[in-house]
Amino acid sequence: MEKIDKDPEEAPGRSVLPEKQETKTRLSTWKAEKNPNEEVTEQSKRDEEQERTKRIISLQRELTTSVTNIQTAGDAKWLERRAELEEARRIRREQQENDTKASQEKYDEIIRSWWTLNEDKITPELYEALKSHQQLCDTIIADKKKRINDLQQELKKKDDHYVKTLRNNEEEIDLLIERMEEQIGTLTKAYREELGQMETVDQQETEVSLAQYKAEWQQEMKELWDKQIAQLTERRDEVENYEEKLHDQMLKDTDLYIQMLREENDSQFKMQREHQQMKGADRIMKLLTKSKTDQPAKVKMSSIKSRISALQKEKQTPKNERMRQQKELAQKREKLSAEYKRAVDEYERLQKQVKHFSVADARRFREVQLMAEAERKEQVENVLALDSQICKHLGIAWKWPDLPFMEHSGPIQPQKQALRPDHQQEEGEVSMETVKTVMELLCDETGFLMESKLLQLLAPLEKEEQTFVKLTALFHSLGIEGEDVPELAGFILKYKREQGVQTEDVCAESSDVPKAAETSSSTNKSSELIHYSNVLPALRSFLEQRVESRESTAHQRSSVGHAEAPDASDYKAYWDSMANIIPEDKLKMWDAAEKKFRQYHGVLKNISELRSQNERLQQRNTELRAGGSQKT
Amino acid sequence: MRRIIAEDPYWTLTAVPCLSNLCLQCLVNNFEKKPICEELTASQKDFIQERLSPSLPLHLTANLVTDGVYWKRCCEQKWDVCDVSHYGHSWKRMFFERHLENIIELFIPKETDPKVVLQMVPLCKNYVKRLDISQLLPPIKEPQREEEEDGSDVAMDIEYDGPGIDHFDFGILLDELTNLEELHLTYGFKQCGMNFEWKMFEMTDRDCESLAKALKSCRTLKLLRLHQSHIEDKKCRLLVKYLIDHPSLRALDFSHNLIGDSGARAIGKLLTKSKLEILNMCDNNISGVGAKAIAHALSKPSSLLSLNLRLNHLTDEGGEAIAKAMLKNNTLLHLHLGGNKVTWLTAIALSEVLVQNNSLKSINLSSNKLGEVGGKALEKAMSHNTSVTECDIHLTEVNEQSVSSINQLVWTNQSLQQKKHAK
Repeated sequence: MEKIDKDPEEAPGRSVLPEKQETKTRLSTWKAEKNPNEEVTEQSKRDEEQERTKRIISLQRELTTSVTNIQTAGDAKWLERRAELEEARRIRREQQENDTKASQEKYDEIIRSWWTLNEDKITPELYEALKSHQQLCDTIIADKKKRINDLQQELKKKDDHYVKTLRNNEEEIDLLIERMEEQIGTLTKAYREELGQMETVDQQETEVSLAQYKAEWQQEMKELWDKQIAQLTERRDEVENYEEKLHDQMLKDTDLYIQMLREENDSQFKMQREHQQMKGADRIMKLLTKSKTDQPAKVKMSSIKSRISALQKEKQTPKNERMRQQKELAQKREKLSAEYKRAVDEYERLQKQVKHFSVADARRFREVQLMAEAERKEQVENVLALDSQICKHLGIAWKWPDLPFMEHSGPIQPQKQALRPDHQQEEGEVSMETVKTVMELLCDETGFLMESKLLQLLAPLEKEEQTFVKLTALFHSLGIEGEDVPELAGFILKYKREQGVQTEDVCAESSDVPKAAETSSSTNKSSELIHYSNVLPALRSFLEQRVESRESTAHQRSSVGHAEAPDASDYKAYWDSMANIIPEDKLKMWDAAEKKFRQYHGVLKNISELRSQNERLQQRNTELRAGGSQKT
Repeated sequence: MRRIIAEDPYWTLTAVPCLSNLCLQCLVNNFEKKPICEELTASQKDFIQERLSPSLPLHLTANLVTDGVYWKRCCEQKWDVCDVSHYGHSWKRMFFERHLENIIELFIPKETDPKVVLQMVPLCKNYVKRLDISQLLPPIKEPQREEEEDGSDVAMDIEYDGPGIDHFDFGILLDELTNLEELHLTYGFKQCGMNFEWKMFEMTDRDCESLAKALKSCRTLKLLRLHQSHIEDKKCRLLVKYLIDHPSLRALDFSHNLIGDSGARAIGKLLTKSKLEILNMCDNNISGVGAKAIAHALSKPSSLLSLNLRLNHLTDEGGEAIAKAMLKNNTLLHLHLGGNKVTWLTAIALSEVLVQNNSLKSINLSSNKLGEVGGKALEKAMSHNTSVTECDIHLTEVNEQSVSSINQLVWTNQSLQQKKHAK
């Protein structure tokens, strides 16, 4: 019973222990946290803190001491109780011992009385003895009952006591809890205060440091700003300085420039003035001289001048007209020349085409002819072979007919080759020098054909160039091309020879002419070649001939296919000879022979039929014969 | 039907749960049929732990679900007060320890099937480190009452001494719990009501033997606390006999028992042979003879750090013996001799110890009749000592002056120690 009531008393003590440890650890951690702060704060604060820590430690000590006090008090109480219990137990034991002793005595007495009873057997005595005996027993029983009562009372007391102690314990526990709570409250309060203080301290510190930093920052910013402002002012001063300088420089420069300009202008004006002065002086002098010389003619001059101006005006209009016309003409000419060039190109192209076609046609014609001839020859040979066979069959002697055309092959070549370039050979003989001289002559003689203006223009040029330009103009106007020049020269020379024959008669009649010619020949070599009077007719005739020849060549060229082909009659004969290779009588003979052959064929047919019949009959005969032999 | 009502102004996409969450929810719902946990990622495991039902069978979850939110939920569902700091901050350990304690505390011998306990063993043996059993139920006594009615006192006595009164047999349990380190045990009965009997709070001989054997088989045990269990000398000797070669036992607590001098002798023997560090024998019947035995053990080199002999009957005979032994001892840190009827003789002996010894940190002599002489001796001794940081001399009839001076000395020692620690 006691043990159970002891347990709760101990329980609070146990529960306090961890808290104590906790507070200790808290303290240590708090101290650890506090340590760095301590270093920062000053000495006075440290003292303060030490005081505070002391306070806390004392608080904690109080806490634990109170608990230990209670525990020890509990222990002491328990010891007391134990002592009491032991005492009670001891008393009880003594009482019991006494009791047992007393009861033993009484029991002994009873036993003894029993013995006496057994010895003395007198009834009244016995009765008395029995009575006393009974009394003794009663007293023993009463004693026992009393003892039991006492014990029961004691038990009751103990029970009450137990309940009381339980109640006491409860009260004490309540008190203890209350006290503990109080202590915890005070401790937490202390801690809270501490915390608050710490916080305030911390806050103050942070505020102080913040203010310090702020001040520092502001100071630094101020310094920076001052620096910047100083720099800015410096810069501004510099800028102003430079601006001033620039302004001065500009002003100086402009002044200089203006001065220069002015000087230049002055010199120019001076020069102009001088010039004008000189001009004026000159003009005055001229006027003076003029006025001196042309005083009377002045009036006429003016009239003439007016007329001249009028005329000039008049002249201007036709001039304009002419210019316009010239322009138009030039345009037209250009157009026409372009057209002409195009036509010539076209013509040349056509000519080329024609040439090409003619060559192609000729080749084709030749091929066709060759092919046809080959065919014919084959046919002829066939015919001849047939003929020979027929003849052989008929027993007529046959001989190879004479066939001259069989050797011939290809188209019949035209025999006449035009000997056209006969004068070309002569041309070759014509040397360049003669040509030159002839050309010069021609130039001189045909001078009338040139425009006077052109001649005027050519006048300053050298002779050779003159002749060249003249000739080009001449040939251009006459339509002679550069390549025809040697031909022309040749023609002129030939013409002279021809004329020479004719003129010999004339020369005979008028001998002064050759004489003159001779004289001239002595002086001029060209006169040997041709007389200048003959040049013009020669040229004319050349031109005529040329025109003719051109027409003829054009004609020739157009009909080159027909002209070069052999005569149609030749071909006809050729083909006829081929067709008539088999003569008429032979044809007749062939007809007769055919007739005869037909007849012969019919006879042969009959014979073959009869023969087959015969054979069949023979067969049947043999069969019959065989059958008969078998039968027999 | 699946459709979205466009006009619904409260419809938001955030209200639509993720497919992965739905899958995990499905896993949670079907955890009993198909437990999948190992393959998941850490965050998914957290998700599952928060949603698993605490009523799932333990054989499924015990070794599959790791320590975490799930076990916290299990604990909070089962018990109102849950202080996880007492269990190494492991909710799972807390759950299994308390669960096993509940099973053992409600175990009724011959009524409950031992399989109930044995089934739990493979599930919780990895997690249970401490067992704090505050009651052990006796077998149901209905047949005894019937016999009582028959009026046979002798039969009742036989019944009492027979196997019928035995409590739960720890032999089946302790050798299985391979991680058990602490065992707190009391053979008591919490809510006995009006059926009180002294026998309910006693440990039977058979109990003692089975427990001793079980303790010997538990190789990992470090702390044994067997309190308020009516242990007499005989039982104590039996227990010590089995504990004497225990490889790991460090703390022994036989407080509030009936151990006398012969038990104390056994304990002294145990002290010399084992590596005990903490011994608590408070509130027993040890007198001077027993104390001498313990003092003898102290005088030999041992590993003992703390000795508590509070509320015994040492008297000066035992006190002086212990003080003499302390002169030879350099390991003991805490000594409690409160409430032992020692007088100034012991105080003088101890003051000699205080002068010499520099290992002792706390000493408690409260509730002894030391008197002024003893107080002064202690005061004098304390002035030469720097190690003692706690000295309790309440209710010892010592002079107030010496008490305050001793306290001052102790406090200076304390601050010195703190400074040492701070350094």
